[in-house]
Amino acid sequence: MKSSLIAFATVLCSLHGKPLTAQTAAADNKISVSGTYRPIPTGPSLFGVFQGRPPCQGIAGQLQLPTDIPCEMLKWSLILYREPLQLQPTTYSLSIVGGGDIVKQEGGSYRQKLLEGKWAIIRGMGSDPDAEVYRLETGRPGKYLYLWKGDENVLFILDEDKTPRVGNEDFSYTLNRVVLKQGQGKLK
Amino acid sequence: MKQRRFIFTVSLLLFIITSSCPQTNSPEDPSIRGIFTASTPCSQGTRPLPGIPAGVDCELIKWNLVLYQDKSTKAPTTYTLHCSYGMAKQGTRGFIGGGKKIAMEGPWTIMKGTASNSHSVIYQLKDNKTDKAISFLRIGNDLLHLLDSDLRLMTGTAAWSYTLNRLRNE
Repeated sequence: MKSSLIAFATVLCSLHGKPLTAQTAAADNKISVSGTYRPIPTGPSLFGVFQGRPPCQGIAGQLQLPTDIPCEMLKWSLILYREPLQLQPTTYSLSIVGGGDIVKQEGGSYRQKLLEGKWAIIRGMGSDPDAEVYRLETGRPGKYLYLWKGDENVLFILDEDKTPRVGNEDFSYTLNRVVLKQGQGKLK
Repeated sequence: MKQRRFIFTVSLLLFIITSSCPQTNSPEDPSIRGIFTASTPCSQGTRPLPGIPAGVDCELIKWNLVLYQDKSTKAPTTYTLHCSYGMAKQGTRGFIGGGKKIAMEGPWTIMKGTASNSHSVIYQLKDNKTDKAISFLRIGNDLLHLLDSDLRLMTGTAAWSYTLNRLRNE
């Protein structure tokens, strides 16, 4: 009788206990390393480098980027700078490969656009008035690129109404903080 | 008598077959909260799903997640998760050797609020086979982002992120 009760209690506890998590341990959730042929930005004014491969659809039109057909995704590399003492946003540089002007290189060509300008932090996105959003000037009056700060390492690309853009099974509108290291390869 | 038995058997078989045929998952089905897809990174340190062996090379996981709900109350019920994983095949969206498959299913629940954000909405999926769970942050109506064991956003790479996207009917 006693052993039956113990067995029953054990089964009951295992059914209602907290499930073992399969999630990646926080210690393994790290910033990745990305290779680049360009000079690596450094210094106290560097806020961070974020990279990602968002789908072409939607964002290419918003930024008025000519693309090849078909265009499945764009390679983004965003560098954010800030004032080193008071940490206020200053300027940014966004390299987009896959859209923009044609760049010829040995053996072929590719499209690239370089956007530069000022950026600022604003509050509010959809139903969340506290959401922290990065607003990047695009060079066209009144037209901005909005990025929602998920956390220190993850940014989500928003549309012109500050709504998160929705990707597909292959590519997402998400930028991830990376650490750059000097790499080799084609000029992209 | 034999004919009646034959007719009964055939009728029974037809009934079983038609009843057990799986429904085609459509995002518009009211019993489906959503269908989400993604291509996410995978590495030695970041194997977010149970069942991916430690010794197998993995750099990419393709996800297909179906979240079911009660048609009347819209409460979460069960989910199915089908993934392919392996090494990405250069120049394609597939895997070297076709990749390997993994599947999970079980109940899912909604949690509101975390230590860092009281407004967060988190979906937690529990695997029936292993009793392990994975969690996602809901971002609007159409995005889910995978979380780590501290319920922080998983950081992706230059190529892939940990964001799952709602599948819509075109």
